[in-house]
Amino acid sequence: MNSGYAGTPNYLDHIRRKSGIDECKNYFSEFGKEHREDVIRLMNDRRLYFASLFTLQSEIKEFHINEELSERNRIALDFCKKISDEKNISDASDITIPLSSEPVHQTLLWMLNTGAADDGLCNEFDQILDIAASVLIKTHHEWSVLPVIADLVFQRNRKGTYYHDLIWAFFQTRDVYALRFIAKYLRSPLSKDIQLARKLLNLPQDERLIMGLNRQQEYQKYLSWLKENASYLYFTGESLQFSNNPVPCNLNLEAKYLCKNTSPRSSKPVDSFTEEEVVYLNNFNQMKQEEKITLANYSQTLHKRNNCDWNNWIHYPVEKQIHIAQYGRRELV
Amino acid sequence: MIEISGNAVKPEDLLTDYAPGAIEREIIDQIAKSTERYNYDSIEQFKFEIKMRKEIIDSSYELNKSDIGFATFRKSKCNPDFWNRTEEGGFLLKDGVKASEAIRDIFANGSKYATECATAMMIVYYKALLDIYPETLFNKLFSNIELMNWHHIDKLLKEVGLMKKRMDYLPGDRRYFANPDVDPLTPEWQGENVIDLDGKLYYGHGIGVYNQEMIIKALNENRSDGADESAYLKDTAGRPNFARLADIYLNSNS
Repeated sequence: MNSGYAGTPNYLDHIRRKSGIDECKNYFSEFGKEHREDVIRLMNDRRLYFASLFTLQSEIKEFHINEELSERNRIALDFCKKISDEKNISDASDITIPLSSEPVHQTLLWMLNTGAADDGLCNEFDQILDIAASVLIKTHHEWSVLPVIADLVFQRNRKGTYYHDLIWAFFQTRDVYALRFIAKYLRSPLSKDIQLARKLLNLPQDERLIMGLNRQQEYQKYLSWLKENASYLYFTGESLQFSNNPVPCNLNLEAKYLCKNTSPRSSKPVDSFTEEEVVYLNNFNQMKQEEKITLANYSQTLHKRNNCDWNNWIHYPVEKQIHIAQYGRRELV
Repeated sequence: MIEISGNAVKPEDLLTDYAPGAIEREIIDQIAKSTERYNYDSIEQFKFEIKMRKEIIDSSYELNKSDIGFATFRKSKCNPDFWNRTEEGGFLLKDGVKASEAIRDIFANGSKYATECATAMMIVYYKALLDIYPETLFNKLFSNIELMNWHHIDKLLKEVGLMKKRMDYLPGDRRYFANPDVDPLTPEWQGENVIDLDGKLYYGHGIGVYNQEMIIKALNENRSDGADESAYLKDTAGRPNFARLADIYLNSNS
């Protein structure tokens, strides 16, 4: 799991992890009666895990120490309250959180990075992690949490707990290299991991691979495919809420054929097609799907190898292009 | 164009069973005028699709009028007499409970249930089939219902989870309004699954029965600060495999 902090643990975390939540709460209540400043210090310790703060919410309220907590802890508590207040679709919490501010950004990073280690604590805790992930991705474009989110998704899939909102948040990055964090699960020894990875990467399910054969080869093959097609991939916004077979990321074949970079967000080429290119595309789109794939693959390979040859090839009639792509031609291969 | 057993059929020959102004007539008119070929093995198979589309629409209105609440999967609830709530927030039919009774309970005791829009769509499909199939057949076919979204779906209904671009969008289709700039605090507003009721009105659980503009407005009100992309109706639809469901029904009667 890509989460948590190394080093000596905070004592509250230590008790919670070793003896359980009730023991942690008891310790806080008993110790806090006589040592108010010490429990505040423990809470404000930068090493504290989010799960301990979450667990001790009612004790914090009871001790009236909210104002003495660090900015990180106060923001995190507000965030928890806001989410727990919104029980129904029509409910609106009166807590306002400046989501785009840097202190909120840093707090959410702490919540997710340390909270991931305690995923499954309770439904409400997991939901807070989901929403923290969603805000970090959508509002702060914080890609550093992608490995943590990917790990959480697969961990929950194994446990059979809810992960659909996390997947949705993950793909909101619309960053093709994020797919690598999913792809690594193609190598997993667990068939559940492989099935989910293949589903999210839009690869056909293959019993042979699920059974564990050629996992490493499949992973390498996907990475090669990703490298080859990265410039032409775009994100569709499809999720498990939309379809049982969502295609979160798709290939723009037209752009690949013309070797034009695609915007991952809009699916359109970054530089719009010229009039000449539109003519090429009209011919290209007359072809069968398999022929289009052959043309796009050949075009991309040739363009990478020799721009001059590619420039000659793209000006040929599309029938001649496909003939060369299928059977080769000495001066171009 | 409608083709039955390979022969083109005029809509006039098919309309006589339906009262003027009935939604069935609108559906038949629309597919008859389409450039797409709608092929059926028999007149019975054709009539089944029309009937099921009508039942999907009726069940949508019925569910909208029930007291079923909206809740995210994490906060979903169900009547424990009929369903077990899963770790993911779905509802799993309890052992020993008849599927027909469990589905009917959602409509009768809606206040004991709360869920997301995708689950509501599945409830609509099951209720539509329950109103067509003999109860014994329904219970035999659907003895392991899990209501959630498209991720856990009965094999007989898996096609409703597959969204495809269509030549025509018909009453009874499942459609989807996407909300790309949704507020990250409320991911449940990332989109709305709906049933097309008549080409103008849509039923979406948590929103209600409204036209396209109103649903888009509701979604747009739940976008993030600085959002620049409006919610929109996606150019796709999900449909059950009417022919397969019809064949099961027709074979059970033979």
